[in-house]
Amino acid sequence: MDPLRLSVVVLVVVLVLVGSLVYQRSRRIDERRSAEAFPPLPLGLISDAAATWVIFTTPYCASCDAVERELRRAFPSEAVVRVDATEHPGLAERYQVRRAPTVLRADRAGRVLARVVGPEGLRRHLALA
Amino acid sequence: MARSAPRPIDPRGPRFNQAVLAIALLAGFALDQRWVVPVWAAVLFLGAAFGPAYGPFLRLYAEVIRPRLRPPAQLEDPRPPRFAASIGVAFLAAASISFAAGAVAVGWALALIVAALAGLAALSGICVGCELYLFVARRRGVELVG
Repeated sequence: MDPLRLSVVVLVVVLVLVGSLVYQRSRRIDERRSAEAFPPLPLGLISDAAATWVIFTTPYCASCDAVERELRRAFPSEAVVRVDATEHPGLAERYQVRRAPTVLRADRAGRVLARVVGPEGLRRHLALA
Repeated sequence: MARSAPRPIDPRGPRFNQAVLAIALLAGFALDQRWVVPVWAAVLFLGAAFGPAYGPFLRLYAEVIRPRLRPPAQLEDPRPPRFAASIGVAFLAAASISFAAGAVAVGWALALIVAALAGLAALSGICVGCELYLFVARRRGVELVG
């Protein structure tokens, strides 16, 4: 086999492996951020329900609608609001939103009780709750 | 394009297809087997144009591999991966034309781009073509299923 070809193949494989490892690591770090570390949410977002779920979305988010439906079904007595992260970059940065949907659950005072990332994160959260 | 929303699919089907595609293209390049490129252009075209039942490796996954696995944790809209596959078809067709025209380096460069993107999608789920579909679909107001 031509050594030049082989080295190109190795290079492509290494780039793909490193790319997916970096991506998965950053996702794991994002998923493990603890809710308590975040400052309270602005009260303008919080409704007077016992708890409010704030979904950070983006205009092209594929799974945000499904996550919103699932939250409304699982917690009918709690409020669900959407925040477009592209319209509120400051807020998205404060809650370290790296991926849509990132979901925060807050009490009446806006204190962050839980932080859930992605549809599979929500499914895990519902299974534990 | 169909008007009604399609049935959601097991996302591991396209992932399997992407994995085989990446390996086949890299092996084809390593061993200088140019026929791999037009063959895979055709394989991807069948699945992208007529649906997963017509893509040879999508079919292999659905009929042979999937029954041996646990049911999928989630289902996915089939349109983004189909759109991504059609971008792959365009690249591989361009690569095949380059080979035919004698521009071998250009042909392999295009094929290796497809191999890298397919490998990334298979390993991590980052599907660049799917993201493009979502971008276009949202502008047109397409409702996604899954």
